[in-house]
Amino acid sequence: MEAPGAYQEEVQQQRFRRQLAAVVRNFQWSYAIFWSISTTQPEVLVWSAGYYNGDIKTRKTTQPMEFKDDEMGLERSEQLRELYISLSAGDTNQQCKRPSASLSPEDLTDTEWYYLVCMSFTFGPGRGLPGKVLASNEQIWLCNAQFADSKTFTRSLLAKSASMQTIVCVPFMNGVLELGTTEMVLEDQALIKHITTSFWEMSFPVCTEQSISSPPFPERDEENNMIDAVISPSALFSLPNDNTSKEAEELHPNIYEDLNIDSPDDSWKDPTNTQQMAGSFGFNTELIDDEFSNGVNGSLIPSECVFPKAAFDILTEKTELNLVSLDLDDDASYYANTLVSILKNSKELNSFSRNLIGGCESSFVVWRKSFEAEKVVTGASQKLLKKVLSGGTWINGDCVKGVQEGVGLQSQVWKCGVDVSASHVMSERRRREKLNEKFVALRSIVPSISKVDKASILGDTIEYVKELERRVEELESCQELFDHESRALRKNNPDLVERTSDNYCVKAMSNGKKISLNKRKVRDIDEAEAEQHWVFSKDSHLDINVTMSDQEALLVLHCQWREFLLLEILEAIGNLHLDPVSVQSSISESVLALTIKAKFIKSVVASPGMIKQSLQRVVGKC
Amino acid sequence: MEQSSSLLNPNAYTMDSPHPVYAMAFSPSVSSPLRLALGSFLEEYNNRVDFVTFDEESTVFRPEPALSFDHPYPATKLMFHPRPIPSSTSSLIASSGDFLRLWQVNHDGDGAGKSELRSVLNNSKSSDFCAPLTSFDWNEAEPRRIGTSSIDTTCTVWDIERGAVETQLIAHDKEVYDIAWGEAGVFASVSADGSVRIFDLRDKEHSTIVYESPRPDTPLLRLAWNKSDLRYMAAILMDSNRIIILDIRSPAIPVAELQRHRACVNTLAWAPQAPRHLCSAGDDGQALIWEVPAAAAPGTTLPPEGVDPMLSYSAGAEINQLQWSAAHPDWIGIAFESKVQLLRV
Repeated sequence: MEAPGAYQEEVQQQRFRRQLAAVVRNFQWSYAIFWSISTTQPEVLVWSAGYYNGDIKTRKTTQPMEFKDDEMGLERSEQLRELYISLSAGDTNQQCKRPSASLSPEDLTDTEWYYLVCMSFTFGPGRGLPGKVLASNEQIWLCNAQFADSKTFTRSLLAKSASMQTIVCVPFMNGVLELGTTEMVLEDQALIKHITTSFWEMSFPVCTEQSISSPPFPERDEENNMIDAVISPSALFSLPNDNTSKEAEELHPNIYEDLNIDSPDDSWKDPTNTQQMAGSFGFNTELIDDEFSNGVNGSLIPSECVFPKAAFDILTEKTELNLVSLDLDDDASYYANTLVSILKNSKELNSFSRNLIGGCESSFVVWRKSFEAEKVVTGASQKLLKKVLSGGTWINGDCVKGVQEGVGLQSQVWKCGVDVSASHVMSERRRREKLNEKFVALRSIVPSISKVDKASILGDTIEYVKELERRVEELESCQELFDHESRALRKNNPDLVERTSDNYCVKAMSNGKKISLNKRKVRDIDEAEAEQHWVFSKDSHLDINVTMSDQEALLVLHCQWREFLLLEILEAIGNLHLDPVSVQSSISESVLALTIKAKFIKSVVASPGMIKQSLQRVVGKC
Repeated sequence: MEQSSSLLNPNAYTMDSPHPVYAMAFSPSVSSPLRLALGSFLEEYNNRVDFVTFDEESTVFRPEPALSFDHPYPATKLMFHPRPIPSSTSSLIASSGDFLRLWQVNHDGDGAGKSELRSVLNNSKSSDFCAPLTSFDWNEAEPRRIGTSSIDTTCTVWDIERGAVETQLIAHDKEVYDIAWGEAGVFASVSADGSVRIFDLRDKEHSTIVYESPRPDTPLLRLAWNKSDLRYMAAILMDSNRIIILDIRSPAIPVAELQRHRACVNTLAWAPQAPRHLCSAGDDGQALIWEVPAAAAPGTTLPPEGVDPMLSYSAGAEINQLQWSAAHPDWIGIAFESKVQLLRV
């Protein structure tokens, strides 16, 4: 279905790749990438072509091994590209199975991973190494790439994992040509020139184009005369030399082991879930684009960031590198996201990594939906859990036994097993209710209470009781005085005594209107607004009480009974212009108890004192 | 205690215990032997807490009888001090039952050592009544704080260094069944009244209801707060095979309801380091590991058929307890009947 134009393009692409291959192998570097301007987004550099020349772990080829090295290299790069595409492909590739000879993530070395991840990068104007190179149109030679600041070299962390030490970017054609190596190579302008010139020489055989004296096979050439190194086919594939590859191998298990710990979602042997993985790849590129175009410090999903932090720690082998404090610029966060998606979601990676650790397997198996009985509800569900939560009601009835057997503290603690705390709550509630009732009762007794809160109820009650006490004192002292004086004065001057005592008593009484000494409610006394006159006489057992209101007089009398006493009393009252309206009398044990209500006949009202006097005269007459 | 390997799965390491085990705790110290504390559950007053180490390489259980101690009222929960001093030979472990107790466990190595009771934290004024504790949680951010939940509807926050109550709140209308700390001063609790409430110690008057069970008053029995991503909480209902995942930023609506257990769920635990992984176990004898979907953006809905778990394990009997080791995150411990199994994730 390719149009002729497309075919042409294809051929050109191929040629370009070969050129790249030649360049890289000339200098025995690890990879070359050509970044070109994106067709979809202006001024953004995207991966366009690349050649991988670095360390390989497993060789999966469709051709026999004796094939030429350069072809193998090309094929390898192709395979890596295919792998990247399949990883980042969308939903449609969900179920795709890669041909058995194609690569899968577990086959890759760190350097290959680096190469692969680079495919996902894009660089906005001035961003990243390629971006800067394009913008300034000047080359950049970066040594110690893995230690570079991620602001200058965004992929520094990635480089570290791949032990990528030197990166060179050169403006080339309409994009940027990038070469990288795991060796440390010092800056060499001649090299760069060679790169650009040699690119145009379409040379297929890889052997020494650069005629330079060649020391024998390079071990780690510390003098950085990479150009001088002999290029031999076998050397290509053993480069970078054994040290690094060993390192990579060692690094591998460590990384993956640690990753293992931090990513529990592993050991899925089910490879059908590439969708999720792919999805996040796709998602991440969008994220990048947004970030780059907006230049906004990406609004990262917080939950995603927790994990990448852990991943980073592992990858940097817990060095002091101050990582991803999550307020780094968008480049680092983009990196974070990409790595997250690769690490977290590349399930095959993780499942494979298990094998690295030594074949130990998880206790868990991948969950498979079973179409058997959907819900099997057993008889007593959550039995033990419910017992635990019941707070001891499982202690069967005979808790006394438990108490006796319990040690020390236990016996104090446990009363009846059932609902111990509930009864505690109930008794507390009852106590509170009782208290409240009593407060209400108190409020009804004490007259002066206006507010309903407990504090003022108590306060008013206290004052009331004090008041009452004071009056009781007064009354008692008044009575004593009266008795004393009455006895004394009676001898001398009976009338005077009475008057004096009356007055005295009156005065005392008028202050004590509210005193209720015969259990009458205070309110009644208040309403009556009466004067009371108490006369106590121990000698003659005479008690007279005269209460005057507006139109009535109430007389209460207790005295020794004799004949005709009642008649005489009524006579005396009549003489005082009082008309008895009701009379209650009773005699018990020769004591007359008399209560008379009398009305005033004329407007002249006898004073209580006079009434009393006359009554006394009557009673006293024996 | 013997060590036998399960015939079903060579990668599950089983230990037989003489009595049924309920409470389980992993020691959070990263030193190589995994140490487990196991609390028995007998319906009598003669329970114990035993200690066992497990060697990852040789996969051998080694009981430590010198360290075990009596705990007459069965422990409803056991928990080690969340931030132990590394390379120290003694650890602090708390147990809840009738009271909250702290024990000092001195493991001198080679099976020697002993445990002693350090303090009993009892808040009841009269010795007549005590309200048994259903659960407790040790605050990782502020390890002097332990929060306990009780059937007397209260939650108590203890300052264990002073040995005194920091505060006691009436948390719910009914019995409180579980409590979990979020930050240093924030905890959540679930209750028989069916609600999940969050309390902030800076504002004790008010609590936030994050979720209420749909059928009113269906008790919520267990709660777990995701310590690696404090947005998420998970809860278990009574007599239900569902696990409710809540996002505290969108209360009342669960993020997901995980419904793949074939019988009621008994226990669950969040993964200690991954942000959204959860393991649950129940009466169907299955331990399932789930990946919780991220809180859905508004407008998107969960797939109607629900979320599937990623991994599963069958124990063959009702699993009563599950703990995910924080120090060794690829180990999960489960307890069923009288057996304790360690599963490798």
